[in-house]
Amino acid sequence: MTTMELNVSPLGQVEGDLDVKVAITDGVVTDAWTEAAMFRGFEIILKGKDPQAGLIMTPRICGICGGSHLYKACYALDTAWATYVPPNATRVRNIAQACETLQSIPRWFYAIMCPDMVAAQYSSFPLYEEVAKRFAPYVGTSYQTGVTLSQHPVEIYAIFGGQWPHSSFMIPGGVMSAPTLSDVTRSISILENWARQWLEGQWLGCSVDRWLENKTWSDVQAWMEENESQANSDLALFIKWALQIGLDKYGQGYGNYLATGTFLNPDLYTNPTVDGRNAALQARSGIYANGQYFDFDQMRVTEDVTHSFYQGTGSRHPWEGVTEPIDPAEGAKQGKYTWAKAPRYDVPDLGYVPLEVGPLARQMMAAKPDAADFQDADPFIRNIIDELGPSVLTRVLARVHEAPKYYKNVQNWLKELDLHGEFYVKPGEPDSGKGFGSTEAARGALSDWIVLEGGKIANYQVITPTAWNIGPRDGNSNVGPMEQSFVGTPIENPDFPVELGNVAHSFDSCLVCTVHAYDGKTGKELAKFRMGGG
Amino acid sequence: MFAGRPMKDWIDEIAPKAGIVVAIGDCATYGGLPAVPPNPSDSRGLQFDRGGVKGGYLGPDFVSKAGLPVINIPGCPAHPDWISQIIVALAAGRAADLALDDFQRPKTFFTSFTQTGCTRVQFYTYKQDPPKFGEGMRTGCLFYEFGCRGPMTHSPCNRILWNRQSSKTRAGHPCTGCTEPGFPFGDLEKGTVFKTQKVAGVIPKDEPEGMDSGSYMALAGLSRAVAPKWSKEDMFVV
Ligand code: SF4
Ligand code: SF4
Repeated sequence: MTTMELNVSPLGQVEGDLDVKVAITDGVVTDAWTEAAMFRGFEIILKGKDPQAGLIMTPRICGICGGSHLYKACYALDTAWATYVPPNATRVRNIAQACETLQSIPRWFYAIMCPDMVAAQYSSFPLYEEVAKRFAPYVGTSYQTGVTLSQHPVEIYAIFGGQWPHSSFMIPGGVMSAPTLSDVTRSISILENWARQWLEGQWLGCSVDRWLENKTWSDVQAWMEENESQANSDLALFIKWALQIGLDKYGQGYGNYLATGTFLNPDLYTNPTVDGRNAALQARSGIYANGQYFDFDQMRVTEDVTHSFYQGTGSRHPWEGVTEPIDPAEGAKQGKYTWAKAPRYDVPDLGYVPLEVGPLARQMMAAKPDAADFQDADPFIRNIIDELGPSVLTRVLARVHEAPKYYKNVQNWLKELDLHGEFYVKPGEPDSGKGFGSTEAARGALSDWIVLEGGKIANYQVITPTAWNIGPRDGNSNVGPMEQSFVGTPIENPDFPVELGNVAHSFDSCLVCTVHAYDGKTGKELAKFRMGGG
Repeated sequence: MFAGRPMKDWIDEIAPKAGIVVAIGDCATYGGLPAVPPNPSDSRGLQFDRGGVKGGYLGPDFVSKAGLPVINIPGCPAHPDWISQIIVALAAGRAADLALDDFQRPKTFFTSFTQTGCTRVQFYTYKQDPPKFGEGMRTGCLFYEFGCRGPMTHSPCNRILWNRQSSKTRAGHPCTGCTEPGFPFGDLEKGTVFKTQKVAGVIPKDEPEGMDSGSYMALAGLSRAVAPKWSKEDMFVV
């Protein structure tokens, strides 16, 4: 039996740095540790500041999902200040949030997923030549157009928000802009042009409506063979390739999920409240754990700092959360190993269960029973999970399935905008209050908890999708969802563990990571490399 | 941390060997948002600290092998076009044309103001502000009530549009001055976000660059007095 440890960094890309260390026994990952190695202290800075400071600060936490940060930061204030949000403003916020994700899907697929997927190590597989021709970083034919065209959906964001990223145009009570006719027509043109060229033309090889007819895994298999254009689409090529190289075989994780949902219904959330949120969500929230669905209740969220570089042990609800950093060297002596806190959710009867967030979680909730008429009810990805089990392949499918869905949403909201209606109603600014705002960034649930006292921020806590997914061992030594997903991954070549890249990239963590390989017994470093796309 | 080593180590190792050092974005330029008090992560820019004091991590006297100080491309975020044009200029051997201002920003981009090219500038001329956000897109200038820093901020945001479409001020969003070392102005303290800071309740605390408050008030009074009817009506209509 050979055991070795691999240190993986940079695996993800954006919001900081993530170190992953895995232990390998007989060519299979048997344990994993993730470590968030960067500390910027945004929550500490926000304490004592202007209530609206989060609108400026939190979008800058991340360069790729700033619009999602703004969306939830704004709802945290809307609920704390008990604002009235006119339906038009909600539509504009939804359009912006959805366009950010539409940009992210192709950019992530080609720029992040593809590089490790087309590694030379896979060159003996029959489809390799075609895959490399299309998906190879920078030079692949589909890579180039996919990445280039992905800039268009956020042009729509800029039309309403002035710029993407880092706008703060969503404010309590509405949005700053009041669009004109040409803003809407320009947005329609950009959206449709992008859909024809990339989404339908290159990615699906068919109309969005045809794709959305698929309800099961066998539908997808039939769809791939239906005609030449579908068979030749990037999506069909990806699916065939994934099955060839075994992406359906690993990266499972716990199979337990959490989504906080997004896209508030414009007419049902004109007076945003924390308690009224679930019922107003178009993309539903919820928990799926041990085979059962539960409603999401933000009061059941806690963050555990037992293994994080912060003062103390145990967990607290974010409204009561504290962010008091300690010296990592000191922390290490107490068994702490990361800057990420471990978010936990208290599932009724099951207690604290690590839950995966992201596209798989969202699409599981789309299959949750009892949807209201306006809510997204879509059993498709649930069926694939039931048929194939969760895996790298299923996680990717769940994410890319959102492109046609969100495209149709944006179409509708653009249609519904009443240009002569209100886009903002000035709110009262009560000195104290508590708020909760949340959304689904492309990579998962993203939430803010705010407490106002004396007209200032008394406490501000952000839980990012990556915190849910990489959150380290908690007080009970449960490993985090992403750590768990590495376990069982077969590693062909420890000097070049592309499989780990494939797992990590399927989560699209917001953090940059690095890889070093260590022999588990001697502790000697075997290899060090940068994961593709990092 | 990057690839298992603190970022500082990378900089220590690479900066002395670099032909040209370019800082991109506010964090690298001035320390940025993480440097807002209490600056819990000890963030500094490469050659400036937040507020515009020369020094930063590399120190005031640092010059790269090419004999140049750090070239700063500030902004939160820095516009992709500013970044790529400056890199192209350097790669094309035009470093000599790259005149730098006091904060070592390339003058070609950072001499004009955010206000230069703003679609609201006619309302600025006649000192007309929009009634409230959400109507901001239809009329008025954001300087008087909503804290727009367009007249004090050096950026080409209204010359080189964002995402080829728009800019904050065109979309009714006050400029927060993100290319300046003071960003975010007022340290995000209570009452400073999206609100014009005023002296005696009426006079904007920060006047347009190069103006004293006496001349500003005289000009404003005159402008308001002669403001034509259209300047009080919607311009960016449906
Ligand atoms: S909105 Fe801002 S940038 Fe535009 S004219 Fe007014 S002050 Fe200048
Ligand atoms: S408009 Fe102002 S705040 Fe916005 S990007 Fe330009 S300089 Fe920065």
